[in-house]
Amino acid sequence: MTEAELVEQLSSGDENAYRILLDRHLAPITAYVTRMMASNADTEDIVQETFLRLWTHGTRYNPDTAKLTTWLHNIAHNLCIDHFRKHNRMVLEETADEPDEQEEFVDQLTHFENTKHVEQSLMQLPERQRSAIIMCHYQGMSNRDAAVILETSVEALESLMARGRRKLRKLLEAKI
Amino acid sequence: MNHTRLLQIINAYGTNSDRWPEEERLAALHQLEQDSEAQQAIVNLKSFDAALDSYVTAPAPHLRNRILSNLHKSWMDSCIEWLLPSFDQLLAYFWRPVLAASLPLITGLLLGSSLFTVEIADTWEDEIELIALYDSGNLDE
Repeated sequence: MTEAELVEQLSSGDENAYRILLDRHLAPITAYVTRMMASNADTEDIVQETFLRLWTHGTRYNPDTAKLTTWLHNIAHNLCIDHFRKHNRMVLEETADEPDEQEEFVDQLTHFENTKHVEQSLMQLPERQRSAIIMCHYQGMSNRDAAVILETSVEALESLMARGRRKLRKLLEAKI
Repeated sequence: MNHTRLLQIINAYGTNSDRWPEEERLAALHQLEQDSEAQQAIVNLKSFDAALDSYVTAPAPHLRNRILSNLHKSWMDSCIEWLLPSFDQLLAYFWRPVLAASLPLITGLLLGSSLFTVEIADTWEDEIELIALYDSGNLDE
């Protein structure tokens, strides 16, 4: 049974279909929200709300326009942004691009194992750069799908990622 | 595919070609074979990408059951959950019961103040009546 058919079953209250979809998508959505929120206490509430919307608003999903994973990521992403706005934090606006420094990345980073540093550095990025990197680097999402969620073009998405990676690299260098 | 585009791809998507745009991947890999500057860029960025990859999130096994158990909540369940939130919501844990406990007090104050207004009207009428009686008593004299 395809995902579109499973989602269709949700309208008739089919919990088995819901369980199948939950098992398929819970881990990636949890990973996405965890990275967006930096393991914030509200992470689980956002994941839960995302999947509750699949149950209550599943009929709004249109398989012709997006994959289910993209649709769910979109919901999770918007809930994260709403959360940041409500709590008035971490919605950093885009700033002018920094000078392109091509210095060598220190060898110590090869042995860099502290994921907390990466988590903290990711949280220091402007929200859109962070989202773009998480979607494409960690979630394995295609550039087109990520661009749809961020409501931008593929070219602009690539620019967000390149700038985000450059800034992230500098932040990590400063931490070690 | 050319040198500039390949560097753009490396800078945006990183050193792992699996993450490169699918439609450009083969051409990019072909370009990489003959592009020493791009090869050097990959060498320089390898450790950075390794650092990014080291950031792994922990699974939340209890979350599945939590989501499933919340599918069919009645409005009463939602009310109780709102009034008695989980311990991790420390602020809500304190203020919600306080708010709930203060509701009867607020209701009582509202009711009391409205009844008090009626009482004043009655007292005033009574007072007029008494004055009238007093005056008529004086006339009788």
